[in-house]
Amino acid sequence: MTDQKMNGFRVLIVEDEMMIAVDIEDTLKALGCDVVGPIASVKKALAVATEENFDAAILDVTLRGELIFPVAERLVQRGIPFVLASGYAQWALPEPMRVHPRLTKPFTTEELETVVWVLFNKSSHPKAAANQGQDL
Amino acid sequence: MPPDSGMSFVLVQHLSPDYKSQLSEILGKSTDMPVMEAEDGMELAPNTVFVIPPDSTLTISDRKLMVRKPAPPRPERRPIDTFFFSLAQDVGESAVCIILAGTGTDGTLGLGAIKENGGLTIAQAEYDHMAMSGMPQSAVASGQVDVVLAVGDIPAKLMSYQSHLQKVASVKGEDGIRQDMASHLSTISKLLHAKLGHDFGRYKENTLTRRVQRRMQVLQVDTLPEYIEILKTTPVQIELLFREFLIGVTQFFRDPLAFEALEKTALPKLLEHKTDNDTVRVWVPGCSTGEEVYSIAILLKEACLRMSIAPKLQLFGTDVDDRAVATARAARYRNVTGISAERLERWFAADGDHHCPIKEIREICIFSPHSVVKDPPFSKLDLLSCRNLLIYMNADLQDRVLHSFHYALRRDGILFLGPSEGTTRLTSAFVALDKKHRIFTRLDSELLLPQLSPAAAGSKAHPYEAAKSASGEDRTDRNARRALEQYAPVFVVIDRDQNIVRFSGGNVGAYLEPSSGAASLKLFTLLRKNLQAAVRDALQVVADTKLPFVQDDIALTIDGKNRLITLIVTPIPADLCVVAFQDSRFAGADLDPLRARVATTEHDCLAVEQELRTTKIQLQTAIDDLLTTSEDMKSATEEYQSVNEELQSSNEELETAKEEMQSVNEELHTINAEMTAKNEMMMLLNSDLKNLLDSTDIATVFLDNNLRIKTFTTGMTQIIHLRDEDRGRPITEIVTLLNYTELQSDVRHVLRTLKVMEKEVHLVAQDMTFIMRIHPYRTIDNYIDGVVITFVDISARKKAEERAALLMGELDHRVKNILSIVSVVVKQTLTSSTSAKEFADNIEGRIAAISRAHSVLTKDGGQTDTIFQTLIETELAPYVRDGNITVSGPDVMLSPKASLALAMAIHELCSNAAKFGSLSIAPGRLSVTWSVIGTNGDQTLHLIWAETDGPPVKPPKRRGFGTTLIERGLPHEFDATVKREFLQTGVRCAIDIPLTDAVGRLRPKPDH
Repeated sequence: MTDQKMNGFRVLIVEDEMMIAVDIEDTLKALGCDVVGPIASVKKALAVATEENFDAAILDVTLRGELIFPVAERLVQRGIPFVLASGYAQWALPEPMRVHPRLTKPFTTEELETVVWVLFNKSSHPKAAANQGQDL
Repeated sequence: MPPDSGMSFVLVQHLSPDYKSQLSEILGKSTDMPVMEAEDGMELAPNTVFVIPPDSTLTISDRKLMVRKPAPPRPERRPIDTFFFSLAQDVGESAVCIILAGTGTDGTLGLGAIKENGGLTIAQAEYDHMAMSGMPQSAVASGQVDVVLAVGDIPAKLMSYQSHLQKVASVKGEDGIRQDMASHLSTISKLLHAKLGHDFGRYKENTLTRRVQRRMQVLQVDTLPEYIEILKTTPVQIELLFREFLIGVTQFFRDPLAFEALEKTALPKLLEHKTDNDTVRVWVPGCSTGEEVYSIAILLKEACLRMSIAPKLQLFGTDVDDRAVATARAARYRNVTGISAERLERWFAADGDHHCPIKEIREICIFSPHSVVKDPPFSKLDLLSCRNLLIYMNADLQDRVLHSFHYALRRDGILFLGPSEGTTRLTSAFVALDKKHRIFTRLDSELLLPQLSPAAAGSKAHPYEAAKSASGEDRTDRNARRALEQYAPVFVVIDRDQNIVRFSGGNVGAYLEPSSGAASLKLFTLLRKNLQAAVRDALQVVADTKLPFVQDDIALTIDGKNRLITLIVTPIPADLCVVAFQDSRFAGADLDPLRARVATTEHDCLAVEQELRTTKIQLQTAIDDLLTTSEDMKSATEEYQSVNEELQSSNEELETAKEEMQSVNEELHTINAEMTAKNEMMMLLNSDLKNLLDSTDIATVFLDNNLRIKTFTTGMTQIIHLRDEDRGRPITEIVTLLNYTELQSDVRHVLRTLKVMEKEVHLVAQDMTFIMRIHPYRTIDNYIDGVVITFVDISARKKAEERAALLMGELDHRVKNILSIVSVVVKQTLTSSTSAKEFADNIEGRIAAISRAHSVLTKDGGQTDTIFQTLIETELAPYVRDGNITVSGPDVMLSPKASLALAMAIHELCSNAAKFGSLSIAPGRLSVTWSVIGTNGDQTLHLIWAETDGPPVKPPKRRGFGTTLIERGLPHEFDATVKREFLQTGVRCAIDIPLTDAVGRLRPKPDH
């Protein structure tokens, strides 16, 4: 694990389970990220994804029984990297979603950090370029 | 039967194939000889009784018993015949067959074989030497049984027969033929010729010897001279020997050249003018066992086929011997010598060892007992075949029979006689068509009415013969006779019945006096009354003595003159009698004494005469009546005779038809029984099948190779709209409710590959799923006749599977979610705890809360909603003390997710209250109340948590995880507002949650 921080790296959290959202928030903050959200509904998430500025997103696939894919599509359009999280064992994703990284619940802090680093490196965040080629 | 006779006994009986016979055990108790069930290959042992095993066929070969199993089916099963045939072949004249009581005719044919091979044949008697009905009677009827004995007499007969065989064994050669026969055979032949007029001189010597030998065995005569003596003294034995000689001499197409001539010469002529509407009538008198009849029937059939016509054929075979007729009717022949292989193939059907004429032949041949001599002949015949019958008759009888034949044949009818028979005596009646082979055509000549009764014919004088004999005189004789006529006595000739057949010339009228009444030639109706007494006496004397009788001086008054006459009665040949009267020339000289005599008796005479006259008148009346009656009788008799003839032939036809009907009926009975059994089985199977299909609830449809519906079960109707009328329609024409269009190609595929095809199909409308299987339909004889399509409803299973999969996924998700939450709770609790003790307490409480919320969730399978009140009470339960807590509010149902979030929030509030608030001291009170505000679709759950009477509270210094759970959990997840206040009185927390579907709903009040 690196000591480097992703200061100023804005990450959107979409997660309807408050405790998990709090946990993700804590982890990201510990990494130096700025957290957008957390958001618990698709409707709100879609609005945020359209209007707010951020560098990456962590999306829970199922939100209060609704699927997150409209939000994901919006992010694809905007070129913002994201990771999809779910507790379903064999979750089937629509074809265009399969290229995106996944996070299977329950996940450890380390798994989360690793994914966030991947997002960070993918992102267009200015600091990310400096970390290019870093050994993960 | 003595146990050491040296004989072997074999007992063959009719047994049901599955019946376990106790016979050997029963027999074993009643005889000292060992009794055993026959086994295949068992050597025939003396002094032993063998019994046929059940359901088997027993034969013998090289003195070994052969057992074949199983027995043939019932119609062909004739175990006794079968055994007798093999026995006759194997042991010849050492064989003795005994037909014991039993039903049917089994044994009769085999008995014939035993007899032909020189064995002895015995039938069981009922009493009085009459054969028992059933098998013994059938055997006796065949004429081939030597003796009929009561059971008790049979052993003695067997013993004496055995000793006879032993005695004559010494005089027999290698081939079993007596060496001393040749010298005696000619004597016997001569004897036969002399007594019966038939010469067997040209018969084969061995055959004759065997026959004679057999007769001797039956009579148990040891030496030939003894036998010849018996023949000489007992005529019946000659007759029996003659019959013995005749056995088997008839055969098919006997004298083939003659039959060929008949076929070539006579039949074409006979059939040339026949059309399909005509009937060809053939009579074969003396047909014996029918071979000749069938031979002619075959020739006729073949000729008709050649000439392409189909007239109705009718062949009558008659014989005096009703046993022979019965054999002919049975139409089963073992010996078919004389029939060419082609004819045998074309016209006969094999039946085991026998050959039967096929139905086409059999049904045109009719047999009946009939005597060509005694009975009236058939009539309007086209062909009459009577071969080797006339040779047994003397010339007179032949004549009569030929007259009959002439009468019986129609014009140009054909007469077919034996090689040494002819029609020379009746040249005007028949003309030869083929002289060599004795084929004649009937000529039209008037004479010759058949003379029916031989008795009557023999006694009657032939008028024309008498005339013929008279025509031999020459002129001188005639003149001399005429000259002397006036001096000669006048006479009448009468026959045995006293009819006048001749009147002499001269004054015969003087002696006659016709009486009143019907005209008659009776002597006594014509004779003068005063002569009758004398003539009657004289005739009586002549009838007694057969000598001429003369009575002189009979006084008579003729035309008022007293005369004396001489009466002469003389028998002449042919049973005739001459009655002559002569006037006495010396009447004048002796008149006086005569007159005196007359005078003295005159008075008496008058009285007597008066009486006599009265009597005579009465008699005459009686005689007249009798005559009339007699005439009537005669015409009636004639009528009856013709009716009788007709009846006889129809009776015969009926009898034949009846026979056939009987056998057909029997066959039908058997078939019917079989069919009934099969039908029952079918019905049982059918109902089994129906019940099976109904119980399995499998929709099934049977299609033929063209996809036409053969049959279907009721379950099919919900898959395809089928009605009963749809049977026979192609299934493709019928609207299917299935989402399945490849049925036609799939069925064709199955029919091509003969492999079962299985597919899952859906019934869209009903949301049902079926497993469809297409099987080729194999008939029992392995012929593919369409397909069977079954539909097994798997909707329920399918749905259950889907639900289970969903549940599993949901469970998996939920468990992972809970684990995620637990993992976060642990991490957060750790971060916010200052000591291990604090961490342990906090984490324990929180996990317990999660677990409780979870247990409430899963109580009903994890799917149902939770009652809000229960959730709160569960959470507060550890702190309840004597009314310190008030919980109240309407019934609200919470979703699992909302339950967990609320449970966590309530838990944190609780644990804070327990640590710092009103639940930490005894007087502290807690009130949890809630209500649902707003209208349908826009409702809010409003909850107030109020602590009172607790220690003073102040806001926490540090914002811990507990605070996060209370203040952020519900707002984040359900857009709730949470307002927590730390008042002087205690903590007060107001929570407002929009009551969306994701959260829960008010429980509807139960309707009353």
